[in-house]
Amino acid sequence: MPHEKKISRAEPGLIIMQLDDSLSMGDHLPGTTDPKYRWVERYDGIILKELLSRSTDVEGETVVVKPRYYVHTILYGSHPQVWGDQLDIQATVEKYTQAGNSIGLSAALGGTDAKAAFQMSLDVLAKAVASDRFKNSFPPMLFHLTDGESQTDARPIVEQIRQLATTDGQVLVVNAYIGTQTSLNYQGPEDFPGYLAPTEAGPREDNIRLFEMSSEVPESIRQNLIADGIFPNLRPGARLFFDVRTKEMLKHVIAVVGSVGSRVNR
Amino acid sequence: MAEPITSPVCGYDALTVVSPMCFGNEEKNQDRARWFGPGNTGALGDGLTTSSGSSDAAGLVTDCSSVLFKEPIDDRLRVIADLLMARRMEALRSEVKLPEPVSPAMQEMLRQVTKAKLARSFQTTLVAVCLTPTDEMTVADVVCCGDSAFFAFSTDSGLLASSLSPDYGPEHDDLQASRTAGVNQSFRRICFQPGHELLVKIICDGANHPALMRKIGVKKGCESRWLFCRPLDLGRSPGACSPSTGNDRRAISLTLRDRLLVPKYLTGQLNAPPYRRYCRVPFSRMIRVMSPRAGKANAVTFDDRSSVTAALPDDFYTGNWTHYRDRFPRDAHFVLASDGFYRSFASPQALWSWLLEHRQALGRPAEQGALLANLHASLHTRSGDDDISFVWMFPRSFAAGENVHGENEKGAERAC
Repeated sequence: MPHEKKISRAEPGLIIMQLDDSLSMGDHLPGTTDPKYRWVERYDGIILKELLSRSTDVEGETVVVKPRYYVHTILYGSHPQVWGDQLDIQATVEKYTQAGNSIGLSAALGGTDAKAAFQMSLDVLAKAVASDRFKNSFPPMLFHLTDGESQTDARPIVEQIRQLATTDGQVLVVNAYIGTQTSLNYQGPEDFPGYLAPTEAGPREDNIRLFEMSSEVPESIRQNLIADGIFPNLRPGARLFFDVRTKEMLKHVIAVVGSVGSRVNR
Repeated sequence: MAEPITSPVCGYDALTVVSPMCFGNEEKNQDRARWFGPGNTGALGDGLTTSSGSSDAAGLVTDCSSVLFKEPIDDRLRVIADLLMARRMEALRSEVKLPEPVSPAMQEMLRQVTKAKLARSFQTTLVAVCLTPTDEMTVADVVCCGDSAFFAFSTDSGLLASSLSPDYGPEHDDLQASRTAGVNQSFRRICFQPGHELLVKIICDGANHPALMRKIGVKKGCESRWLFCRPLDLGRSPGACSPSTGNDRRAISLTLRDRLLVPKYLTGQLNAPPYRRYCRVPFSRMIRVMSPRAGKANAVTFDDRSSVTAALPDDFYTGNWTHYRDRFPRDAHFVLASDGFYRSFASPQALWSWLLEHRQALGRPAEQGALLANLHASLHTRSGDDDISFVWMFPRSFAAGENVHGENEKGAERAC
């Protein structure tokens, strides 16, 4: 069965964070007084800390950080730029803390060219799944977060990304859309059932596009999300597409990143 | 509880195997397993990798298993949980050395991470069983916390029971049906759970109706071990539940229309008739319900892909652990298994077949090592290698003439 590998130092996990840094990310997140990018950085910091925790062992009196996760961060607007180039988790957190708990978001990258960002991710992932480091690992996860309709159509490139695979299965694509509206009725993460069909994600065309660009949730990840209380009612077969209506939902959506594999060998 | 028979034929022996992970460049060796012969007690603990000190925790819980089953068990388990918590508190007070060189901000982050990790230190699963053989059956007391598993097998019919079995509790729609059935007593639901006795009417002796027995799924040659019965009532045992409140996860939900296969040893009618038409039987998962609902009762799979498990000590205090007693044929075998061991197989039957096939080789260190190396390699290609451990408890009559005794040195040998 695919998507069963545990995360370990020998077979580490790769996460690509592809984050919208366009002008509109400077608007306030609905229901709050802080800009969207600030909330993204806050919750990103929480998940980075969680991944660091899973990579840290206390051996006797010594704390050892083992490279069980690698993070590649792309910020994009009208053009993409790399913030962290496949850094191991310690280097990622080091960079994040030295920057004042920031991953460089500032809503300063102009428009929204998702296609260029996905192309950059494709280049990284194509090399990664063939590399000795990741070829036998739990498949990489590409976590894409945006708050607006892209000016370019990334579907053909995303289709190529979803065909990439390690020996444990295909690369997973997650799409999170801040501020959109869908046909699904739910209160929050506690009863979010997930999207099974395009009609549930619609009627907006950009929602449906992102839904179709999203991978189906593997059972291992679904069970992790349920067991951790992140999305306890997520339906089997739901797509990894999330509409973000509140900061609570944003926090839980970013936590999806931490559900890859079975984390460290239990 | 009946006194154990001291005859060597009726007692139990065990094979204990602990094999640390050997693929990948992670150090594990967090499983511990133990057989305490004088008490017919086996125990297995699987320390959580995300928890520091977990191998010590697994060692502590298995070492304490020899006294775990002195009543009351929850008090004994509380002491064990308290000991683990004490170790945790000591760890939280200790000074730790951070890696170098790291920036002050990173140091602060690592301190927070380390403190949070030590606050979850000394976590382990536990599965333990105490066997009490009698003339007619073996009573097993089982304690479980986490995803290490208990299995009972028969050399004739394979899997008898498992701690991984899905819940038997009454379905919500069945409960609704029982409420709307009104005065139709044949649909009255009986919630038969541990600690209760069931009044049954014996329809026939399997020895006299072998064809019927085989038709309803009894293996050839085993027909005489069963009685075909109809449930009548729970009788007047104290604590009997009403149909709408039964919620023990091990409960068997019955209607008066069900038919039951009851092992003779539960009725005290192990020997040939004459027998009574009515009798009371104690609760046991060995009782088979002949109804469409019962199909799922034996559906044990190893396909739980979650990495989350309950663990001592924390889940003792939240009540997320179980203790139950069941009755098995006196020639039953029992296996305690870490998840690394049972996930090496597709099903409980495959696990059991592997044990039976290799029972002699497992008693010889060199061959045992080769067998375990194969399991590690198989795990490594699928979900990732893991520690592999099990305790196989078998009647001495099974071991007579066969060299299945053996216990590899805990954590000292690597299979590959």
